[in-house]
Amino acid sequence: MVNVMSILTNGLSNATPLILAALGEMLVERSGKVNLGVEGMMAVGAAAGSLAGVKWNSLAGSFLVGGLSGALLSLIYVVAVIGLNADQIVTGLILVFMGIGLSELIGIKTGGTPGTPLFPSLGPFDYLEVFSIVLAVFLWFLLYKTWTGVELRAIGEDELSALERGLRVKTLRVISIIVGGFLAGVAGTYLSDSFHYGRWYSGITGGMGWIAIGDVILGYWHPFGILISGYFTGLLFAMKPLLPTIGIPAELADALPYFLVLVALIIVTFIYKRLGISPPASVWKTIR
Amino acid sequence: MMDKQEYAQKVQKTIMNVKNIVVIYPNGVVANKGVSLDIHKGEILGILGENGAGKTTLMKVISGRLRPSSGEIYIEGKKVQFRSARDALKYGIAMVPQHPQLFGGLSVLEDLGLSLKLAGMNISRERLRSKIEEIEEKYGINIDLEAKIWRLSMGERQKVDLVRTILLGKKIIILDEPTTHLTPMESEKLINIMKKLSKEGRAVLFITHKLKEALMASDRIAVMRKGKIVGIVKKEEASEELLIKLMFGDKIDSEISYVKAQKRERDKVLEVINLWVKGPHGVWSLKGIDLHVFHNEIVGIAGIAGNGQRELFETLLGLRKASKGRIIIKGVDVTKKAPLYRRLLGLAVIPEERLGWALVPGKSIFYNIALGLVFDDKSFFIDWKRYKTLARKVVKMFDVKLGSVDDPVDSLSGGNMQKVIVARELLRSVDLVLAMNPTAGLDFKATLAVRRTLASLRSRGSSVLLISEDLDELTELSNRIYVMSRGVIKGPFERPFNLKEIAKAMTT
Amino acid sequence: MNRAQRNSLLSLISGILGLILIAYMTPAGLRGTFSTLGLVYSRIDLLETSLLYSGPIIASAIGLALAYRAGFITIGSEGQVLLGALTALWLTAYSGLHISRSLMLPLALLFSGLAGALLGLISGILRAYWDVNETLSSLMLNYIVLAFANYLIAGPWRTGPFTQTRSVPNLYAINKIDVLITVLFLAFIYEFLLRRTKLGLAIEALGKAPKAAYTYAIPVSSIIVYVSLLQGLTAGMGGALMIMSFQRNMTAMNQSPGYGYMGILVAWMALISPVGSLIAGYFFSTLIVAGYLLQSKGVPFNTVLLLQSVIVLTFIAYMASRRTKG
Repeated sequence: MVNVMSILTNGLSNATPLILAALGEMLVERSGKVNLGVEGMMAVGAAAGSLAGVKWNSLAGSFLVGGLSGALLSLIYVVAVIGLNADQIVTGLILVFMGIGLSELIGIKTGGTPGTPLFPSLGPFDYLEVFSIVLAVFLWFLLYKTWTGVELRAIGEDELSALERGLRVKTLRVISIIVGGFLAGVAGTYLSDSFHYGRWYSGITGGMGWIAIGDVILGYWHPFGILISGYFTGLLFAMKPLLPTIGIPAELADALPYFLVLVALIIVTFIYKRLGISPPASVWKTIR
Repeated sequence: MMDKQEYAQKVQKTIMNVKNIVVIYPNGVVANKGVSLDIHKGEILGILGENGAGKTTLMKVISGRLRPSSGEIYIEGKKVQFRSARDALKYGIAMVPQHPQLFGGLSVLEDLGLSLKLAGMNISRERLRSKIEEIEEKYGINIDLEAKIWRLSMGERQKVDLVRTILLGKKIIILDEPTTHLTPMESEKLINIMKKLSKEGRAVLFITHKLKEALMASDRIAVMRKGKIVGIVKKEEASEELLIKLMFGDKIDSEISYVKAQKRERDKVLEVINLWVKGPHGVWSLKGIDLHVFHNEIVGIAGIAGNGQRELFETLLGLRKASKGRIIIKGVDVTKKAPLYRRLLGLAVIPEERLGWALVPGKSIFYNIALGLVFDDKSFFIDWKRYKTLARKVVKMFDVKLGSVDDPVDSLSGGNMQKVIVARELLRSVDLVLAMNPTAGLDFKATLAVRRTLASLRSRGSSVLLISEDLDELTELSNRIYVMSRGVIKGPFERPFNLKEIAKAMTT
Repeated sequence: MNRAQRNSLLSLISGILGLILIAYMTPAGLRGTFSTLGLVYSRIDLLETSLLYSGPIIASAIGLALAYRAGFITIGSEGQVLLGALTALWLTAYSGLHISRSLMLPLALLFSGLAGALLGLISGILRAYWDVNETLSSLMLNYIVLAFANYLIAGPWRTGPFTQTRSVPNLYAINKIDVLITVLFLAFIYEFLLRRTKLGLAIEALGKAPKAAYTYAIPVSSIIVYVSLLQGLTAGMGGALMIMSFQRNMTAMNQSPGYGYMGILVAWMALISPVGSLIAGYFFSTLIVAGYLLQSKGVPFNTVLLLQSVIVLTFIAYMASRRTKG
């Protein structure tokens, strides 16, 4: 019998990296850009974070390096898209593959470490789970209660007007993208540190970065919405072990979360369209 | 001769001098060709000129939105350089742009607060609210501070911009065609507000292409033509004739032939019955539209921008779904049909945006000619030779100025683009032309050419549904005029047009 | 030197520096990496092997080029290659069909192509009629196909003591000439489609000015549906080229093989042109062969993906910066 409690706690920890990465991507999209490279930045974060953890035997160092590596990768996006005006969709896609490739190069350096767990499992309510909630509240406050947040939202609404009216389009955008990269990196590190005892393995992200981008849409570009969509998708991943107990092969069960996220995307897209509520205007043009 | 005292007075009076402003846009257009102007404290300075005379460009320079290619700006004798609108705000220079640049997802309060923050004032929402309410009361302006911008009409948005400039334009307030989206009564009210503001010692720059308004409001009127100031006239010396002469130079003959419509029931080319359409954000933007167009007539749709004209255009074209009602073209119910089906019935379109809607940027001129024609063909394959030949024919017939038909369409001027768009439709068999603001942003000559083409279409037996914000254009061309206001249609008004009646319909 | 020149030069230099840095980071080291690359280009047999590997990549890129021109940003080629490969594997090794070698390749291409096209159609229909973002939907489908493949490999299709499938029989194995002819044929057909047909014109319009396409062309939803079918078709065929040439059987997978993803990089490297994909795709498959050789020196295979993406990004940044004004 599968324990309901363990599914819930598993769902919670599955949700945390999704929420962190999605909150970062939400900032980027609120500033009027889309960075599809989340998967890549998470992959690098997972590998670099794990390597730093192995080398320094420090959890904080692990997360810091993981975050910074994600931020570093997002810097490439900044240079190409903001600096050189390259296509944001193409650049994002390339970033995915770059991140996956880079994570392997970094990841193999973690090989050969003893099989004993370096990090303790962080338990049902670990720091990052709490942090992700605090972060969501903070971002909500930032976006809706401060003038800087209003400025950021304005930039995402209408870039041309923002430029004419003298808003800090470039500055805020660059900051959002780098923060987004950092959060994706931290989310990646969480994958290796929380689920796999600090060990990296090839293909560790398994599409989580893409699910996070989906969570931004499911959560309607709102911090609290993303909390909800994050927990929802996290729970889907946690429910995977349930399926073999009702006779569905484990290999097919792997498809379940992706399938249900797809169904959820179809449903919310339909609802948004039906209600005629539009997300940040300039994002609407690139991401439907 | 000016004596010393008089000179000192003048310097004291002058808030801003601009000297030899030259603006060259990246596409090579020279919009300002050495403009110099003194702006005095406490005056309303009218800037008059036809579309494309360079008024808006000059104002963008003064408000910091645009950096001039050369030239200098002095504020109270001190040379300044604006890197962005933000710098100008800090000197107390604020502008109401012609088309409001507000942010749809923000509330009115947030949008206004943002500007204050840009000007370096950090105040709380509560303080801001009371400050705005003060202004609202003093000048008799009424807006809901909590409303989201996307819910507001264009006129309401302009009010938001007006409040903003009053908050921030301590020295100079610029209003760029502020009456575009206003009713005549509201315009009068606005002029009173402008007078109040100038009495407080601020300089008010009032940009307009409407003579009467300029005469009514201004203390001095600077007339611009082709990127230059061609004269500055004091209120006492100004007259309509003088201003017209300054604005247009030599007179141009603009006679347009007028043909009567065939008004028999079976000659209806277009019939719209009880049409209901939802706009963005799920709000009704067309509420039960009824109208019809006969053979051989031009039917005008007048109205202040943002009253559902765009939605009507898109729905008639087939880009927008109708929730209720019917659209009948030449007796065929096309309500649920795709744009191409309607085009094959004989519908032609002249969309509002030339590049990106009517034309595909980055592609050649002959590709763009083909775009409007190939889908009339049965064949799956394209005979490019044929379209190149057609393109060359169009270029010759309509005197389009270009290097070669292989050039990207982006390289054409606005007027020449419009010629290509109109010509492309004339190559097909056309019964009904759907046009929206076909002469917006065109110079006088190109405007005339487009209007003449529309009139000649009528004499050829086609009909035109002309949606336009330009009332002069409508009265000049139309056989009948409908008025759109808040998604409802009024009229039709018949020739001879009673302008007062039409204006009243537009505003209620 | 103006800004455009300076920026384009800088992006080239940083790209090259990036490549050197990556090579230096690999266990093979700077010299080991570049000498292996040199080796591929100096040996005819390796250049010929590259041709085999180019099959799925070029085939994917050809269809993707069409899709990206229409602004249909799918990344479903990966799942389509995999599903195409499964289909061809079933046809050759499980269906019990016995036909001549010369008939099998066209038949396998047809079936695999259809499988890929149907998969593409899902994202196409979702986008065309419900406005569902195609990038995300196609990505989800990739993972669903991967799970399905693993299920077949571990379950119904399993043979022998290991989790692996039967192999494509030697009789039906294809060679480099077969691959070359297939991709050449596909590239020219798609190029023709793009340049000489109404659909091609509509695709260009949709990508560059959607509103113009909505106004003047055939209904946009059908353009998207056609494009998604045509895109999936070539990627699915790529799957047949993969399983019938160098792959031959399948084992349990932790990640997708990645040829469909490489097709995405190739399509952009080729400036989204079907014929251009031939050149860019072949170049990238030489890198794959180098990658396999480097694996013996402990270099992870995904380093190839990294090198490829740095090259494409450098190229994209270079092209973008040449357009900079001032």
